[in-house]
Amino acid sequence: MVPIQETIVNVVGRGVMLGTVLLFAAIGECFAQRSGFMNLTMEGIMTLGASLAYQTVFLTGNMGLSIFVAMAGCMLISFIAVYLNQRLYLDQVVTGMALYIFAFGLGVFIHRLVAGGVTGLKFIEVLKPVGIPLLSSIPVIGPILFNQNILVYVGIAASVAAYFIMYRTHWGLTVRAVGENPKAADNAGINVYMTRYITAMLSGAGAGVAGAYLIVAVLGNFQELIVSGRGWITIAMVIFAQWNPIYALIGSYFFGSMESVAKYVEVTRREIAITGGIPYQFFWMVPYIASILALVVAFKKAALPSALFKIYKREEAISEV
Amino acid sequence: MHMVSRYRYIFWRFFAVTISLLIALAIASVFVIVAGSNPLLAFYSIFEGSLSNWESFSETLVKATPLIFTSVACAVAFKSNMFNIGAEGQMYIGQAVTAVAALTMPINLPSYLFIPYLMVVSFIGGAIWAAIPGYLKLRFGISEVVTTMLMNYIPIYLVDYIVFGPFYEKARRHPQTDPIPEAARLLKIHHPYRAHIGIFIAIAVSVAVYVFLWKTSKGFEFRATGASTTGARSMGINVNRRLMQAMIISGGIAGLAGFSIVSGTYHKLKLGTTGILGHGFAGILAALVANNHPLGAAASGFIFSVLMVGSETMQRAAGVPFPIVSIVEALLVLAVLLSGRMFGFLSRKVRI
Repeated sequence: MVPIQETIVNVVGRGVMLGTVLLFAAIGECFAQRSGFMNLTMEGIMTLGASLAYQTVFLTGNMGLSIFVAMAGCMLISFIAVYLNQRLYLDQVVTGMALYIFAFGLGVFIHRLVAGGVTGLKFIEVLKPVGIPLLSSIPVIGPILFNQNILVYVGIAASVAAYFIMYRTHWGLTVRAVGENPKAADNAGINVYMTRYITAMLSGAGAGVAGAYLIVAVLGNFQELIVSGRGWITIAMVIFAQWNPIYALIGSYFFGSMESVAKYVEVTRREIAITGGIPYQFFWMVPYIASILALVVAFKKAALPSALFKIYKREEAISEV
Repeated sequence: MHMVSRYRYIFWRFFAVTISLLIALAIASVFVIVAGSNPLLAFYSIFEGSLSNWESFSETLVKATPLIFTSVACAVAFKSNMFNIGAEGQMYIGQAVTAVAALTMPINLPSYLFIPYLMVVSFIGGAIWAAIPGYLKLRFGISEVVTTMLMNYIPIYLVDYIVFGPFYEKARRHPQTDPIPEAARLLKIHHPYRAHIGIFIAIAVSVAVYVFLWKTSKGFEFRATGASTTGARSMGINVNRRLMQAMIISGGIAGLAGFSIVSGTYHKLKLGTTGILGHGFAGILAALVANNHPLGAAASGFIFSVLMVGSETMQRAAGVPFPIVSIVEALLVLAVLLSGRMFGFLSRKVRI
């Protein structure tokens, strides 16, 4: 292979691997936002999920279990967030911020308590790439998409499944109806609150897997700033993807690749001059700037779920009928 | 409202807040017990570590200075219904601008000109950084919650670039700039300790914001916009203009937090000055605890810095990891929010 092609394959392949972090978080967030609840705790619960996953592997050595522990913790926080918002009528943004910092603090607190230290004392061996026979020998596409760790494939399967659930099942229609017009949905006999509880907990579960993925597949170690804005990028990216899990897949790999490029430039900055003298720090800014630009594009189309950010007060809605 | 019912109102309101704060403390105590320590010892060591002698009190003031700026910054924006959660990034911009402006000053300015100059440029830096999401909100309707938060991360890399790139210190050892000139530094309050007069500037800003919001007609327009945009519009208030101004003032004050860190505390720009959850984030919670009142925000900013400084002593004396502070701060916010709900519940039960 020509060196430049090899470099591109390596960088984009790593981008797909990193993008899977965003993908897991994004799939759940698609459902949550579609149903009218924006899970703003994302950044915090991803940190909590990463911490819980690291502690589980630290104590038991079981990677599968660590993913479920992370999911459970994140689902609990997401449930508290949606309950405070939808049943106690507290502002979604304010409770989201408070629980974001709560979950962040809890994750770091648990880490200090169990494993101790600023970073973990021991590295976990991260998941190895598993090549799919035949498919992985396709030039360029093969090594990028089909020579990845097992969770990347799980992510692809999950986003396809999520697409079918969202657009081809009755429950998917329910979610979209609740997000567009909760009152009409309620009149049609749909339990608006239960739908939002489920989607919120789905987004918690996704964030839990994303946090655990950071530990078991990317870094193998816990740091306090491990998530470093990925939760917020996810929220922006999901809006840009128009709550479509397949678009979210593409967006995740795109943002993952930007991260991978920045890492590549930082590591190799002494040897190469392809950046034209642009310092590597500016490459790290690109995903955040791109997220903001993505929001500009998405909001120009202006197709937000009508009930997003709104609290559904059943008592009032029913009495109006 | 009748006089009698007014007293009953205050009583039950106070009652609801007290009960919810006690619940928050109880939950925090559970975390302390889980960490294998005694809650009373833990809470006592917080105060011992932050207020018991001049040195620790000075450290508390050092922490409180930027925190009061950021919490007042958040309060201004929240009060006007702009959810600017980007104080962290605006503060980083303020730090970068202050350091660069101080280090590139070609002439020997006296202190009484240098300090105001730095305050103005750091205010403008933070204000511009906040004006961008403000513009995106008003022009395209993009939620400022996500954009301000995303813009928190960009200046971190900018500071990283400055301290490793063009302003890397001459000794080339640590990721920091050279010290800024003597005249660009804020006076220390009492020599051996680090506390500086930035704390008085912070308090003055919070009082000025209070006077502006509550005692001037312009300020009333901000509060009216925050209470109801449709109501404010029907009163003839230029709502978009006020929202943009709220963002600019808020971002500028957050920029001043950065100024106080560089000019007052470290006298240089360096990496990692604000801890794992920086002043910007703590400022959000401090403003929310104070129900977005600027004077209250200053007070809760001080209380939060007591918690932050004391938590290190607590970690040593009681073995409770210091990140519990973030947990406690978040619980306090939820307690204050829930006390409003509890009050509503009580007012139906006991007919206040």
